[in-house]
Amino acid sequence: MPLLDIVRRRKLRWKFVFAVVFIILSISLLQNLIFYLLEVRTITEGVKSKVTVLAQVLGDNSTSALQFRSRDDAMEVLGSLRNERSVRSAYLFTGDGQVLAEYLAPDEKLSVPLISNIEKSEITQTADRIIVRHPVMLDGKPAGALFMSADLRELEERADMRFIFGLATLLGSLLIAFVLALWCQRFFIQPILDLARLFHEIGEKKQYSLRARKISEDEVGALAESFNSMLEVIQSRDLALDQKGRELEYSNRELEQFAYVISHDLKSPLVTIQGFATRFMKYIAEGNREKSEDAALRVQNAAKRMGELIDDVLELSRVGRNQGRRMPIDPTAEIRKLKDDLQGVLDEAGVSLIIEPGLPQVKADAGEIRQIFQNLISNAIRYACREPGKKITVGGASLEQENRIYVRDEGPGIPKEYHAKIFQLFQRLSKDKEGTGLGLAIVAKIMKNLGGRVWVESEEGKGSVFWLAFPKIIN
Amino acid sequence: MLGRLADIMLIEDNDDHVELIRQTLEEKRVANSIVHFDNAEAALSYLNRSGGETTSIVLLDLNLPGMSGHDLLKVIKEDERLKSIPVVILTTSAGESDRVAAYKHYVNSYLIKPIDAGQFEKMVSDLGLYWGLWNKLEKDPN
Repeated sequence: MPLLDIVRRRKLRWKFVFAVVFIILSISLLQNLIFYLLEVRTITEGVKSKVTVLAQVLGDNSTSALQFRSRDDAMEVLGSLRNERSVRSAYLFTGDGQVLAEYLAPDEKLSVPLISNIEKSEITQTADRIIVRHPVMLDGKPAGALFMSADLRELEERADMRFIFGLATLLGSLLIAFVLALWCQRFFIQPILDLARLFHEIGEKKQYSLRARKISEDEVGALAESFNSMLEVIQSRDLALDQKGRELEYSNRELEQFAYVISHDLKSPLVTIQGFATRFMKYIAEGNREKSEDAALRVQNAAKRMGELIDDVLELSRVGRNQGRRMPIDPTAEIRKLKDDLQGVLDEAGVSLIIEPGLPQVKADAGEIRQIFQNLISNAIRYACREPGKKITVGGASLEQENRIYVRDEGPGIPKEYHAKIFQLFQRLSKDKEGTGLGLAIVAKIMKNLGGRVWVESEEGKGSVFWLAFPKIIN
Repeated sequence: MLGRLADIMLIEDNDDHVELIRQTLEEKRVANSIVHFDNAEAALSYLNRSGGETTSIVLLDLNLPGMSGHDLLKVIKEDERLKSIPVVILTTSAGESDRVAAYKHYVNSYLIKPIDAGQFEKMVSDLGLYWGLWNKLEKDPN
């Protein structure tokens, strides 16, 4: 059906309006039809009873005219029908079937009906006429009959008005239906449209944090609710995916740096080993004992350094793996143990390591804590205690947001532009031959794994403070 | 007339590599004297003081403590007085990003230290002979 096809293509709101208007139109048409049929019936009955009464009255009035066979009198009696517009014709018959008088409406032609039995009173209805036959009684005997025919002119007379009223109510109810449907549709359609728009927006922008507003408690509300819970799932998966992506990216960067290290930092001692091994042979052949010893020593040191590098790279790659269970621990105990282990080195350098009381507890694996402080304190001894009599202080406090521990030295300090760089892989500040450039990178990686951070506060000539911030322990 | 040979400036934090280069140049009879720095900052202040007049070539390592070789290269090539000094990066890094960054800052040559001792010696001696001896700087007439 073409109409249905058109409707099918319309928007939901117009479908709704169309449906309401269609229903109202049907009801209104049916109503008009019923009203019309009722009116036809009422008018028909009215004409029938009026004509019957008229026939009786006129019959009674024309008894004397019949008795004296006075056509003039009879004509006068029938002439009173002039005011009855629906009466089309009337004939007064005498007892022997002769027409004594007749009445014809202005545009009516003479058409004398055939009468067989004048005694019988009868009312008949044809397609367009109501015909009444009524006997006229004289002294209890039928002396004649009155024949009268009427049409439903009244019905036609009011047809225009009825049509106008019908059309007016039809159009009026359609208009009201249209306006009300348009107004009501937002209660039914708007939540669906809102939902549809949200679907579209999410599809377009991939913003899974959006939520449908639940306006109603009906099926649409339930739909919005299940849509929201679906979004919840998608959002959490999206986040997890993002997280995994970032982790992967981070690992990739780390891998790149490792590749860089293999190509650069491990190659460097190899160049030394190759070069001086060759020179060693040459100097031996030349009998140059001093130079050959120097070359051999350099080969030895380069090999040792390679070993250290490999160990540290391995150490770094182990951070976050193979760790024990993280639990709240007191770092003081671990740092004391470390101090005992390092006592020889400390004494040799003439450094005093002071552990202040009141270090906050942190949630970590003991090995991780040990590694962090091992690296920070070794660095402090190596780079900040070139002369004896220096102090390294470990202290800390529990703040509102996090637990902080610091390692402070009295060394030469670190220029501001290197404060971030020193935590990167293989970035060394000192031209010192010792150290692989991995110690602080390992510390930074452990702190990142613990959900904390590490940074340095330092000014040249005023020593350095390495800060460790651990997340609060939640019970 | 043969003037005094300008110096070869070597900026390298690995003492072993410095020694390898020094011994190689000596053996190949490269007569230029070697001015060595183990960090970029010291080298830069020397260049600033001398204006680069006595330097025939800068051999520059990339991975230095503190200021990196890239940083120093950038400073030299942006300095009106210093930018005509040839700078040769001498590094173990075969990383493409390092090479690209160095050429972006107008490095004159980018050389990767070969592991093989023979190749290393050949590279260093070629460098010394070419840049040190033949490629004497023609200073401005004034």
